[in-house]
Amino acid sequence: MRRRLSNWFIERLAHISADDIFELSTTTLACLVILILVATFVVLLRGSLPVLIRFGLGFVTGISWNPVPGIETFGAQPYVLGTLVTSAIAVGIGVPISLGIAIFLSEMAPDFIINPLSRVIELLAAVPSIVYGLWGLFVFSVWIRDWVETPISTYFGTIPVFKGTPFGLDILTAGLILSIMIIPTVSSISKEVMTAVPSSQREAAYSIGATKWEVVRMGVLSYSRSGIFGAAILGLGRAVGETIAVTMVIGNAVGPGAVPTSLLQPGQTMASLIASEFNGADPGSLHISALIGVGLVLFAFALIINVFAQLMVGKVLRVKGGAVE
Amino acid sequence: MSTVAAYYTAANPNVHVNYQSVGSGAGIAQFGAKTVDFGATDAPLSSSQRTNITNVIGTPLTIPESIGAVTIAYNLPGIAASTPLNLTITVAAKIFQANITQWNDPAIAGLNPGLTLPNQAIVVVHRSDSSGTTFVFTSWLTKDPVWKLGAGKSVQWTSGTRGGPGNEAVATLVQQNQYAIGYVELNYVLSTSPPMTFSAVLNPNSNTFVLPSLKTVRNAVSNSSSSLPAGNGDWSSVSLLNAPGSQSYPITSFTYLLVFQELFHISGMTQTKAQALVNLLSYVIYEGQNRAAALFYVPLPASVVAIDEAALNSITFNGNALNHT
Repeated sequence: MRRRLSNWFIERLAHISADDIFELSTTTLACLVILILVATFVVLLRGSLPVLIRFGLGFVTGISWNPVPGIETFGAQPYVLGTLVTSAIAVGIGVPISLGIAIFLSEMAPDFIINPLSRVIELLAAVPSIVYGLWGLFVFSVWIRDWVETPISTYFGTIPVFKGTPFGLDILTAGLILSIMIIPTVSSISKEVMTAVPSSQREAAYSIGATKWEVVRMGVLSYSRSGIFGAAILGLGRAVGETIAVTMVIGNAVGPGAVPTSLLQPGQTMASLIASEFNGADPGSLHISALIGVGLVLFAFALIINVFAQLMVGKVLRVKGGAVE
Repeated sequence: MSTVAAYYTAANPNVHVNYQSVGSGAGIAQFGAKTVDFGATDAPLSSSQRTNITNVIGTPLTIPESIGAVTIAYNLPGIAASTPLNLTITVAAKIFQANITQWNDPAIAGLNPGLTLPNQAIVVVHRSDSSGTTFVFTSWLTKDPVWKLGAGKSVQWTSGTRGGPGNEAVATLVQQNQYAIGYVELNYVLSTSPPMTFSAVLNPNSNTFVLPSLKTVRNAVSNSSSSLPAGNGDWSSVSLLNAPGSQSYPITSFTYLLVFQELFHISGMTQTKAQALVNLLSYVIYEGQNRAAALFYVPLPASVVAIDEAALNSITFNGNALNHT
């Protein structure tokens, strides 16, 4: 019996090939990612329990943010809105620019320009966000204040969305910095998607007498629509999670003052609030718990966007394979 | 502290000082958990923290290490540094919580009969990160009942005010923007170039306006030193705000070192390490003060050095006194 069992064992061992070990180890590594995700969620939930118990759903909908011990109130709504507004500006400005770049690179640029220009755009993605932040705080915000905000405030200052003193550190500047930061991601993916459009599409359009613009519109853009959409969502994901660059240029309002009402007013995103206040908050205080709670909301937010993006990227790959949507 | 630690390590290459800026709250928590050999904090231990730490571990020593002062810096074109703006605590409180919004408000003009104040909106700049500077400044403002935002390292600033990360950023933002006002540590305004303009603040004892300078800040400390407790005493009620003396700058504060009187209880502590620690602290108190002026910090007056000296001499390892160099 003993002998037979050991025989069986050896036999099994002999059947374990290098491939099996490889499969097992990669599966373990893949599960690790899920484990980290779940662990993050558990830690965030546990850390934010005190504030969730104290304020309930009011923590998500409230607008007051007062960390002074004894008179504490915490509400995350202004930062959720701030994140939405700055990301929307980033996508609204960054995506059209990226599309222009992608169309130029895939349809118009002569061969000797395509490679160097693509590299330069990818280089933008390699610039650390703290560098964008410092440049934004000390240089860009001054330009924006003098050349964009001051004229806007002079001529359109009575329109609610342009109300406020031009200062350079506000929702507009944060949105613009973010739009620059998402350009590399969105433009390089869009370019890949457009390049993957079969030449037959373009030839067909030309053969019926289409102009260059009509070829791009009918042959290329309509064909790669879902891929471009996926690229925009990836850009959105980057904008939502961006922390330090936003922290440095958004003006860091808190409480009711952070509810985004005007482009020229300071605001706050979830990520920038955590970055600003976490370091100095007292351990064990409700303030820490509230900041972790904001992290939990941001986590859920980013998860939804990323799942959405993953679905879209799946479509990008299919288009690259040459199939129609 | 980090600069002094670097000087000390350079002079004593066999000693490695691991100094981390984690915020006063986290610092006190780690000190109480015996995970650090010494701590540094802007706020002294509260009575309950002190009692708790004394009961669990042993007597903590509070050693004033450096002196800070918060200036109210502004950018008013046409008003020279030689004729500084005068402010009272009440007017400052109203400006920083946006009850006063115009530079030519009668309340400001009344304090500054010699100045022509512009008909311009005031732009308030505050710290966006949790900071000891905000703690000291709001603690001072809390002494006037007009101030409603409370005292803390972060408070809920009024709508429309702007936040910048760090003293550096607030100083730069005030310099970059006309009609801005903010609060900045004295050593930053003294070391920036071009020089910043900052206001004289009403000293409640003499009813005169006192400009912040190394001298007036030192006055505040010297005039308070007779009422200071011993190193092993309770420092929770010590405040240099509105210090006695006719030429004392009102917004002044200490930074403290925290160390246990009996080092034997600290995890990982040895006789050699205890000796090195005492030498380091002695270096901070003596040699570090000589370096203070170059960093635009106020050196500790002799009366405070004497208190620190007595505290250092009382440090023991397993009951044995440690002689410091």
